[in-house]
Amino acid sequence: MRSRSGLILPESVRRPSRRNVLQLGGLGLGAGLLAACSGPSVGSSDGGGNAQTAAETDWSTIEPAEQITFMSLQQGTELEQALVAEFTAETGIEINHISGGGSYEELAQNFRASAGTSEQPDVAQGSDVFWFQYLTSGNTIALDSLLEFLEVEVDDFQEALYGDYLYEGQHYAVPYGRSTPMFYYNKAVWEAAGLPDRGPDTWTEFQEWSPQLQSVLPAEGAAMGWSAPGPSNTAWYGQSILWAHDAAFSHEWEWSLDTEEALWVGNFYRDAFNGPDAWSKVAVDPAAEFAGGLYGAIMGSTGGIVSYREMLPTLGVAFMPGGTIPADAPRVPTGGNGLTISGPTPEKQLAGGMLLKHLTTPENSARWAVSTGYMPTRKAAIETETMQAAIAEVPDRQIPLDQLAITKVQDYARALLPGGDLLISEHFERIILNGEDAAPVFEDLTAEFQRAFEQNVEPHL
Amino acid sequence: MSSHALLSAAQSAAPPGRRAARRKKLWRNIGVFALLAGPNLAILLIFTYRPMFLSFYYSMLNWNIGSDFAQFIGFGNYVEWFNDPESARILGTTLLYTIATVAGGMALGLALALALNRKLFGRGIVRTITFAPYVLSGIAVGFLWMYIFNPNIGLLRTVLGWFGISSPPWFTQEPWPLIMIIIVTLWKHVGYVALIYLAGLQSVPQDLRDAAALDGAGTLRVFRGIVLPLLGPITFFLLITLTLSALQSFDLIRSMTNGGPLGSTKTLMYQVYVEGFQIGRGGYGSAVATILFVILLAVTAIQMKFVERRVHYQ
Repeated sequence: MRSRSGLILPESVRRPSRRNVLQLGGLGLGAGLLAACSGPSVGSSDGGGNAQTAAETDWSTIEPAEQITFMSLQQGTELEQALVAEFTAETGIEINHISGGGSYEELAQNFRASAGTSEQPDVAQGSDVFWFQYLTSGNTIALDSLLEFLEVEVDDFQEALYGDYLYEGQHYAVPYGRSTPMFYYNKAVWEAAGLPDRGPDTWTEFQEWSPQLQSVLPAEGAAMGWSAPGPSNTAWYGQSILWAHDAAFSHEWEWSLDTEEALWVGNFYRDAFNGPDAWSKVAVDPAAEFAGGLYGAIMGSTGGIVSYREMLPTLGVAFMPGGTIPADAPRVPTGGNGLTISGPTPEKQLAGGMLLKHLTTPENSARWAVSTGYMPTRKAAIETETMQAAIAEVPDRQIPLDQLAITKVQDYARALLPGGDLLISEHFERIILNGEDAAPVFEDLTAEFQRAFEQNVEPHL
Repeated sequence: MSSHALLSAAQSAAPPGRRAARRKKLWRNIGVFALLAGPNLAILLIFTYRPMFLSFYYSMLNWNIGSDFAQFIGFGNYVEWFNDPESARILGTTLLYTIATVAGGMALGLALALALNRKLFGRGIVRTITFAPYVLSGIAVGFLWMYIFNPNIGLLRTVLGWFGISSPPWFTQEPWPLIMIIIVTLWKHVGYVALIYLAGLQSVPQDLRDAAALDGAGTLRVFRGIVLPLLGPITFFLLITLTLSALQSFDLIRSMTNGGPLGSTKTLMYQVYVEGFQIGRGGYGSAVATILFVILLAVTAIQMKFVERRVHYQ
């Protein structure tokens, strides 16, 4: 119907009636009852899934599938397309290369949405905080026997990177696009403040330096700019600070935020942002604000080394600061993504394994690291000409490689507990933004860890 | 004898040839109906009602998205939601956001429409400019406004600085994050509201205005007594569509605040996303989605029952 104003509005919109709503509801009810015939099988809450374990498969009797689907974040990049094309040329296996979205969250969302459908990828990237959810929903397989059959040199993977995917004696992914947090500082600010040209050895040393730094920074700046509270970074960096002070979010499924060391770190956070001696500010766009001269230092992923230097020629790169544990003791987490196999048949799983092997050869690992800013995941990759040339061009690339010696596998509470990353961020916000004491906040966080474990992990193990 | 029985008797008494023709016509009508309405009905059934009722079914399960297996827990997810202290806060945020964006959007949109209804220089360009944000992607708009609101290096900080005002902590201190999201939502939607109102304003009969003016009614009196009542159907339409849109708003929150800080911008819709896709609790996320659906239905029904009475259709 055309209204007098010229707008074309259907009668039901122009003048909707209660009957219209009831009719729609009734229509939906009928359709819904039909639709409810599909979905998960009800009655059991554990195991299941679409990718069955490969532990007992005799791979020598399997022929690889002719075509598999690969879901990744870097699907649009020239290098990944080249790597996939080379694989097809080498093996004859066609790759349906699909995009997982623009972030790890979108990737996990797309993977979940496709799980159990004909669109489920056979190989998919899984971020450090999402791969375990693939496992608990039964959509990824243990890789050990497959990698052994394919003669993949797993000992050549960086231990901390490969170890992140170890659960109950089996690995569920291989490292692909991996990163680690670094301490970035502005050498010009350091020099003006009269500080030595190096990162702080410990967090307390940085705290001691902060008045000098803030004396040469704008009033609205701070010695340290932290990423705006939100998923990932808060918990990722926080993990390193806890470890440096002999604390942790958890030890496997035992929560450990009630220790004296953990509480000290919590209140260290509080005092960094609150009170007269505060030396930190929340940055909405850390890189731009840091490059603009607002902060003396920020923390960021290895991926930022090249881009940060382009933004700030006086960039300094250093290890994450330490704490009370020995300087050479592991205290830094790794992050990023690994490659999982979720193909529903042994044929697809075998073809997927071959793709994993191809993408993570030392040379391809080096090419990938140079192109994306991620770290080379293999020890042998560091020695390749490709990687050595890249280090010669940007010597700072060597620093995260050296830092690998003090990396360790992440806490279950952050990496494996579904939503753990989010819970940590939300509770740390109370300390950072509200200035709350760590003790009650960590008590609440521990209770939330336990609730999430009982609801989302325990029934599915 | 009832009229129905009379009709049946007449039909049975009709010659066989006419009965066959009538039946043929009936089948032709059914065929035409199926041809024209069938595709739309099929799309509605598959893409709207099937997911909606699947969602209700999943809300009764303890189920991780992607898993083949689930446990039937009845209304367990609903009990959990109603017992969670965070739920009241999320509901409050959702209602506050909805009321602010719907009321604000309609008031600003009407004001803009009244301004654009006058013969002003460049009116066409202004109409286009004000409507443009509505067609932009919410995610893109969110990222753009983040640069403007950034209290450390943003454009707004500079502008406020000219007047000696420091930038509010838009991203870190309640209630500023919610206010920021409301402002951006209003900016995005006001052009759409203005366009709809403008169409309504241009259809108000001039003779009614002239008659009122002859009777000595001033501009405000004409607006209150004639224009506003005649805009009733459009106001009612906007009230329903904007309310539904606000209750389902997601993109700006996702791109600007991620529901934070301290959960201060977490709405029901955003909770569905967090529970379902970040944590993977398909059953619980579906329960929240169903609660949101019931609220949507209730709000629409209330609006139709109580607001529609005040609407004057011509």
